[in-house]
Amino acid sequence: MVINNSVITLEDGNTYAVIEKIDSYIYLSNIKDSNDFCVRKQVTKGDENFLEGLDNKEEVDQAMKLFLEKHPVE
Amino acid sequence: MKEIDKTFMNMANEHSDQMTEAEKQAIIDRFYQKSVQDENHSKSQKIAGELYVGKTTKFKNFIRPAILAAAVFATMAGIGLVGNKVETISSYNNQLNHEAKTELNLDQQEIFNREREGILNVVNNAMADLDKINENKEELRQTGNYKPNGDYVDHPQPSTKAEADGLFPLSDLTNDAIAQTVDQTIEEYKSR
Repeated sequence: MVINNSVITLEDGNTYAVIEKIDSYIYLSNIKDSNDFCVRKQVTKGDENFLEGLDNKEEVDQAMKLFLEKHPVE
Repeated sequence: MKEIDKTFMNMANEHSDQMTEAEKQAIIDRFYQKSVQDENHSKSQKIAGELYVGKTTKFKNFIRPAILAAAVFATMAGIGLVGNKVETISSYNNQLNHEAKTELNLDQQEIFNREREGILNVVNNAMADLDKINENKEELRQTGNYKPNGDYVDHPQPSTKAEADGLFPLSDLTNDAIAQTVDQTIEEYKSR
């Protein structure tokens, strides 16, 4: 895993840019394929931060609704 | 109208019209796979320091189309109302353009086009027209011929989730409301 502040390499080996942060949700887009998009959440355990998948599809939809509220017709 | 076609509506069309249903579904499946916690696709990763959205011009040039693609993706997945609005505006404007070309004379078309120039004006008009669409939807709903999701009352087949969410195609109710709104708008320009 490589961290460079606004860019992260996920488990699939691809590099993703952080395109938005809303609450604990991190919105990531593959820098080589804008159709490759996903949402993760930042979780703090003790003194350490982790990037984790969301609990289920409903939480993903909720995260996307937050995104759409912030970016309505862009 | 040309300007708006170059912006978000064109993106929506690119992603919706030029993709097969299988391609759209593959994108949606991949999105959920990568977003939901799963040992095969989305492992917990320790991160060092704080992640942030890039602020450089170069980064912004990348971010904007990525955000747009994400919003269009959400439209395809039927998430939220905003994506539905994009699709509704697109359908409305396509019909309106077609009707203006076929129903108005050249002088009326000139007035029509002149009043729709400029991205902001077009967007604002489209948004204002959405209010008309919603008013017309309410009128149609009150006829009792439609269920809340846009199905005909006596329609033998229930809507799919995509139809119910206003994905592809738009619900019968929305399509009828758009057609009614287009007719009203064109009638206004016929009197010019």
